[in-house]
Amino acid sequence: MEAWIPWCLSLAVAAPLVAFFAILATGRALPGSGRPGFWISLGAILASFALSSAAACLWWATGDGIPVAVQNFEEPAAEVLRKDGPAGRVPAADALAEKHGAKTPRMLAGPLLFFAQFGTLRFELTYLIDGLTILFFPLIAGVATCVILYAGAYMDDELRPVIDEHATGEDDGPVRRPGRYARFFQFLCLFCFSMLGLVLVGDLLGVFIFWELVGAASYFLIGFYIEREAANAAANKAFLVNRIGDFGMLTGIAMFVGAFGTLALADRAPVAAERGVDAGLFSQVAERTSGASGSSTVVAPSAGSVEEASTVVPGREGPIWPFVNWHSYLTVAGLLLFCGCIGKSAQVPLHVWLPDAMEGPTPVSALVHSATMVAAGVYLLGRVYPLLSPDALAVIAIVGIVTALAGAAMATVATDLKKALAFSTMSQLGLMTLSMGVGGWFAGLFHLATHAFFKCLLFLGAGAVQHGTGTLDLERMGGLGRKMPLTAGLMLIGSIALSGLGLPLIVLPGLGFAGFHSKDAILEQAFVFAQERPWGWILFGLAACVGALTAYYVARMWLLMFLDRQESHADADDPYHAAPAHDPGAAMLFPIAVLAFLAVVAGWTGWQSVIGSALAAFVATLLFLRLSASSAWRRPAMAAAFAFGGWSVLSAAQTLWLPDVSLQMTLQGAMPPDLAAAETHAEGAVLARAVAGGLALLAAVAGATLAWLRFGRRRRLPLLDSALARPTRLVLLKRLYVDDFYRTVFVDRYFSLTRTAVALDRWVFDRAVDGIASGGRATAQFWTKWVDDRGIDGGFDWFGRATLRAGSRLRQVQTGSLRQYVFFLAAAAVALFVLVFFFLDPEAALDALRQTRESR
Amino acid sequence: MTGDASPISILLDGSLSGGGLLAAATTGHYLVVGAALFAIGLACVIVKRNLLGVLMGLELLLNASIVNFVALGSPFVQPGGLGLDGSLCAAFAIVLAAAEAAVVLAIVLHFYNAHASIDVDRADDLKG
Repeated sequence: MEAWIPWCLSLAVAAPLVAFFAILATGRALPGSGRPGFWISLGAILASFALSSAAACLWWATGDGIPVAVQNFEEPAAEVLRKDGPAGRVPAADALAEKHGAKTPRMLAGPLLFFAQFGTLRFELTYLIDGLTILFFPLIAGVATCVILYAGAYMDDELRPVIDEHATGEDDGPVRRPGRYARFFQFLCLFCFSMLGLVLVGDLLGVFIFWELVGAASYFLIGFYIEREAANAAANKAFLVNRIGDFGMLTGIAMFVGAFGTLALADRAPVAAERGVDAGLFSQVAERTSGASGSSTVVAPSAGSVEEASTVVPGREGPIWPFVNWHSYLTVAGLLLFCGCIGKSAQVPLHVWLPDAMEGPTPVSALVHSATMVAAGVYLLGRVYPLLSPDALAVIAIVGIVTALAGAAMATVATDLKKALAFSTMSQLGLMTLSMGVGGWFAGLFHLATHAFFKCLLFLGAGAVQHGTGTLDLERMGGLGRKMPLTAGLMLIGSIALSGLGLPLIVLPGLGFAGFHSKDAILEQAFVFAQERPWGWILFGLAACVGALTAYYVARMWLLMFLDRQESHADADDPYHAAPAHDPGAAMLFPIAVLAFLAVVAGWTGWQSVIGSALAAFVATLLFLRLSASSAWRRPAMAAAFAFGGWSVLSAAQTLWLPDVSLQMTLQGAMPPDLAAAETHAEGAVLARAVAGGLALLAAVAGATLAWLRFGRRRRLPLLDSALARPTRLVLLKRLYVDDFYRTVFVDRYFSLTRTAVALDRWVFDRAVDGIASGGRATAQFWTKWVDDRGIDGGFDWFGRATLRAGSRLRQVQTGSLRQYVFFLAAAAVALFVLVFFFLDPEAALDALRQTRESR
Repeated sequence: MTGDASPISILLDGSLSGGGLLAAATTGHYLVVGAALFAIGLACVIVKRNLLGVLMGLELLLNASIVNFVALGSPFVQPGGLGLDGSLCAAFAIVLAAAEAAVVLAIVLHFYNAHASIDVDRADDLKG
């Protein structure tokens, strides 16, 4: 049964790729103006989702699946897990883990595709399946399903020929082009394929391949409106900025390969069993950094190739090179690897592409900001976590908090709805990175998962708002709550989830939507971290500030969009007010509603889920009963009541009989062993949870209140609009001048460098080449004129002319006069006769003739 | 020697008896006649502008050679044979001359058709 999991997941990865090629191949031939492209991609992604879910079920059904936190550690995990199949397990690693008091996470590893082998270094695609993979597959496929469903309606315009007002055509008018409906879904499929592949692969080579595929797909999608200059520039920016990060990542990979001689993360069981086990990066690094004794337990005695590999790295304590010890080497390599995450996950200082990437269609933004692309960076951090040294993690934490602060600050003033959401994503990613840095592996990935739901929801909602009003400018919106109530309600759920608001003390530490729990987990982790290191308190304090800012900007966004304002824009000229805004159709609302449901329940686990869902069902039922029959809310409220009620029952059943099956449990099951050990042994966990949770909630409430005071029905905080706040506001609107800084320092420098290069090329190299060419030409001309024309040709010409002249002279002899000829004949005969008989001796001639005859 | 002997008989007698006029004629005499004929014919060919004149000169040239053939082919000159070689060649030459005359006359006719004249100097188409 367990052996089926890799198959399921491989097929789940392959399905979108097949759809991609199917749409690519059929392309314009598709009937019905591209609509089949949507059905193909939807079918593929649904297949992916089904296969992923099947794999998850198999995972829960076959393994012990009990997370570290609740399992008794005496149980030797190896026995349970060492089963037949493609999974290779390292006894040594288990032994190592047991020594530490924690078990290694359950892991399936095996080969997918073999490329080449150089010495002991194998280039191959392998899969590595643990709780992280199992969790992210349905997550990505599910979110992608919602997005594709939504996009099917959202991209309707592309079914017909499009007149793009935002792009300048040849005659300075709008660009007219055929619709690209099918192509959009084609690239969405490629995107999903890349991300799913990234989650599945278990070696750095495969990670890099899919990592770049994600980048390429995002390039296509961000630049989907390729005719628009801004979209084009944004796509280029995203791609180029990511290249910078990827360069570091590639260097990091090279460092790991150079030191350990393998690309695989997990241990690999070779086909020939007697050769032992090829140790992957995880076990090699663990052996290198921990106090585990000797390599004898890791390396099988007869494993020749492995011994070679391990001789590359002699001595655990010794330096790898002179003056470079293992710790610094791993730190540098880990940080270089993290460079890739900086680029992909839009961390400072490579965050600049993220706001610009909003030029893509809204479903793309939703996908980019939730399950793919930016998620890839944090996911990769989670995947390679065991390779990162403590110093590298500290740097990661600092980068994370800086990003979180900068993003949150910029989000508070952004006037473009999608850009505000983009800054928010940046900020949340910063929090996740911070969490990784302070050892919150679980918290970071948990937040990544929940964030995927509510951020996707918010983006899809933003798309609905844009669809309804035709604008994304927050300053021009207002009062949309009356016009599009369902969108407003759904986005309220997403906003609450993002802001981290919740009800305290119902269940420890409180009960809230998904973001509440995951953000609490992060802050709690920062709190625990700070208890050990004094400077950690700065991180914790700043993280709490980020929490407050988050609540502030989320509330601001929602209030600006949906709340009636006293000083409403009365000018009727504004096209926005003239346009009748309305809720989108069911095809667009349904995916948002699904995501809203998930954004509510995703953070709950166990009895929390039961209580929370029951509570939500109760509220929805109340709402349903109180609403009048004509209200647009009536039916959704009923649906919500049923959904939450059903979920409550389901959770109760699951908590009673299948306690292992949940998002958090699965994720915890995949936790790196060191962390798992640390977590269970951490003292005062309850205290940390209470204090950190309370502080986080306080911060969120403070932020939301501030937003309400400022952007509520009556604007009460003139201080924030006064001259004092203006410079700050300006700096934030200018995105802290980072873009300008890059433009001045790098882009302009680069361009001036290129101009210099062009000048050099034009004035030096071109001149030199031209000079050589013209010199050659002059030589050739000289040669032609003097040697060829005058010499050789002239010689032949002269000879010809001379012959001609002689001929025409000679021809004078031919007078044509018969009588003269005869006379000459006669004269010649006479002359001959005279010559012979008077000047020659005929007798002598005759004698000579005779003699020759006789001698013969 | 009788006084009433006719010149012809004198000629004949002399030749037979080794005396007379004929007896005085030697091969050299014939050759001289031939050479004279040849010279006259050649001069005729060279000088005459009339094509028929040229033809006549040609005939003279041929006849000069015939005289030479006959003279040199005589049994007196070349003993030991039938003495018919020269005559045979002469006969051939005569036939040849007849054919030649026919050809030349045809040429003359054609030339006349073309030029309405038989002036040889008009035949200068081969002038270089």
